[in-house]
Amino acid sequence: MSIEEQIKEIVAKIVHVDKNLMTKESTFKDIKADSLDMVQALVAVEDKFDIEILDEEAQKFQTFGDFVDYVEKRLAEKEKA
Amino acid sequence: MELEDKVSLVTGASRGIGRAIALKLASLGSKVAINYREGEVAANSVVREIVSQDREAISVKADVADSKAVKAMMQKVNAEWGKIDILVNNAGITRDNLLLRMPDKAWDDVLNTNLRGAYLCTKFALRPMIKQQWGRIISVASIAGLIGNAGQTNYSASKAGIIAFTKSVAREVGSRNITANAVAPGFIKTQMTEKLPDAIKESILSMTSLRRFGEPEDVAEVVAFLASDRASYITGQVISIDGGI
Repeated sequence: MSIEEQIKEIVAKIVHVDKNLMTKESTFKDIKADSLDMVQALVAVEDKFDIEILDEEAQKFQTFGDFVDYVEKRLAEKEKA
Repeated sequence: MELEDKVSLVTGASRGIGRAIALKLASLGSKVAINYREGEVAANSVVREIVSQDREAISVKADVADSKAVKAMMQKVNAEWGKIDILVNNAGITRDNLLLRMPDKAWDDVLNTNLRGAYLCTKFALRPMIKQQWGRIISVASIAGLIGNAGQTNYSASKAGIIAFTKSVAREVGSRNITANAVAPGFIKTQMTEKLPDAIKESILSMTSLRRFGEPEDVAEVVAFLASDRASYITGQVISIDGGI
């Protein structure tokens, strides 16, 4: 499963939304995720991929795609290191 | 067993109220991590007492005011039992002095251990609790945090802080089936209160409706109730255990 799919599954479960309705362009407002949903998703993704997501970065995420791109970037950095 | 399969972490559990809470939670079936800062021998004796009753317990050394140490403590508990269900913020110190004579260090030390400690432990414990959508945060405040106490501006401020902190945490994570409550003990017979001058003890006694001091077990009973499913609709509350002051 791609990273995008894995994150989608995590977020969909937390927000109780049909994952098929989520695209990279979906905003967190679109899927009705509140701030606590976001924190819960960040924590779950951090644990799943063993990475740290900085709060100042997370605050910049506008869409689901921003979130996925950031995680992919961190995983690539981790791979290199 | 009411708390069977639950994992509890009690800070400052080597003696006094923390010890009584740890023993009570264990007696109800919970696995209990006994946090201590200096009292290693005492902490290990609490562990032995629990293990001798066929329950599981470990001791974990950590200064609750130290972020790294708290993180490591949570990791240790998680490595041992894979989760944390019940956090009891009990670790607390006193450095009494009249405000006009209070050294800055006495203020800082008390606020750091009592309030920053509760903040750090709660922050790190919430992570597994949010994930499992079940959790209990129970913090030990004090009557001093409700009505104030001469000579304890630092201690009472830290305890009032714990109460407001608890109410805010309750609002933040209530939707995830996590409750946060505080207990406010009055005069409880422990080493901490033993050192108070007799005149002060007398004056507290005269204010106490039940005309006697409380036992650590009186506090432990209420904490155990708040930790249980029986208290599942109680959050953001402060329960006084003070014999009626």
